[in-house]
Amino acid sequence: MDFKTILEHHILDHSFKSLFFIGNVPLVFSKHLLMMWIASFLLISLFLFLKVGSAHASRRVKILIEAIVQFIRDEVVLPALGKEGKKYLHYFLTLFFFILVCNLLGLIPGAACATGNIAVTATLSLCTFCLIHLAGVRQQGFIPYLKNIVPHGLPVWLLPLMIPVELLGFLTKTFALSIRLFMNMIAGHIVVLAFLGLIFIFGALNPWIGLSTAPLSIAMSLFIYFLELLIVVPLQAFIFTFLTALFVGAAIHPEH
Amino acid sequence: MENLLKPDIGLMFWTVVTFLAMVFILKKAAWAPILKLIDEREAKLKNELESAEKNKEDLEKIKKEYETQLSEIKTKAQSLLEEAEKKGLQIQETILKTADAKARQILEKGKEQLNLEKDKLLADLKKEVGSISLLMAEKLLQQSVDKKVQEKFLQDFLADLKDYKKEKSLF
Repeated sequence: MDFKTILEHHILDHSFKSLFFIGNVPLVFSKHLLMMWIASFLLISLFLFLKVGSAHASRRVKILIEAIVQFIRDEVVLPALGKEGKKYLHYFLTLFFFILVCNLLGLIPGAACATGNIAVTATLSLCTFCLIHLAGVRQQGFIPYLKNIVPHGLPVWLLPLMIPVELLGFLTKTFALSIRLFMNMIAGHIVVLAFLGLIFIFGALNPWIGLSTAPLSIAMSLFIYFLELLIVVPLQAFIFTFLTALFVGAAIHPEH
Repeated sequence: MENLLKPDIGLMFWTVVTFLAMVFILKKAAWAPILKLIDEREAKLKNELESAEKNKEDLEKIKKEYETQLSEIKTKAQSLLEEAEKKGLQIQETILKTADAKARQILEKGKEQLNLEKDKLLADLKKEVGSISLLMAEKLLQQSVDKKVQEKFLQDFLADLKDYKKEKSLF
């Protein structure tokens, strides 16, 4: 078994079963989908626990969740969107917690990282893309929103150039969002795997060399693991939410 | 590895469904109550802050009122003192005036009495002198002076007496 197959096994999706078809497209039940549903289940049960669970047990969790919610509201959404942000707050909160839990689940050995799948991140950023334009249209009306796509005061002869540029800008923004999250999630897993793979590569040369490098490799992979757990995973969830908020804010307030 | 960058349409469909369902479920189950809680807490905090501010303002107001009252009292006391002083001075003046007038009256009365006494004394003296001169004239007559001499003597004496009286009244 070479390193490539190990990586593929860890990072790529595994289809379990095709549930049903829409046209020609199979809606497959896969490992990443299972992970996503587990994440959703965990989130819902967490909030049910906060609601129903005894006050003593849920107090600390509640304080933590409330702090995060307040942070996202006061530092991320409201500064970017203004007071209209309250209408979109639940979207951003769900986005943040959904990505966070998916990211965290990916760190459990044996599980898989749903946000390490380009289909998932692309879909999330597509939702963001839709939200940007829906919010823009909702806030300004359809025609003024279309007018505000290009900056005001632009000479007319520049319009044929600027309109495609701006439209391309919308696409690249969301594309970059999805790629950023996807690559960050995958990179951590690959690095951890690479450090662990070193043991077996050296072990193939000579079992003793492999054994002697094992502690260093394990230490390094643990280091990367905790880096992922404590910094990269929350940071990526935050960045995705933050950038979404910025884009939506820009669509709502065109002159900023 | 080629599949890494190939998004699976089926998974995308499921992601949309799952994510949007999560948005709606969590909106109802989680965010609405938590946001409400946070809002309530913030409102409560704001209320407390405002009431504290109000209390402070009230205190300031009371302090100001107290100070103005104090200054009023001070000025009132000052004016009262001044008035009392003025009154005292007035009373002193009237007392002095009356005393002065009384003293003057007493002096006047004394002088008058003195003059009266003097006049009485003078009258008494005149009478005495008259009687003495009569006595002397009698004595002279008895010494057998003739009538003419007697007459003349008496005339002279009376003239003298007139002069004397004149001199005396000059004082």
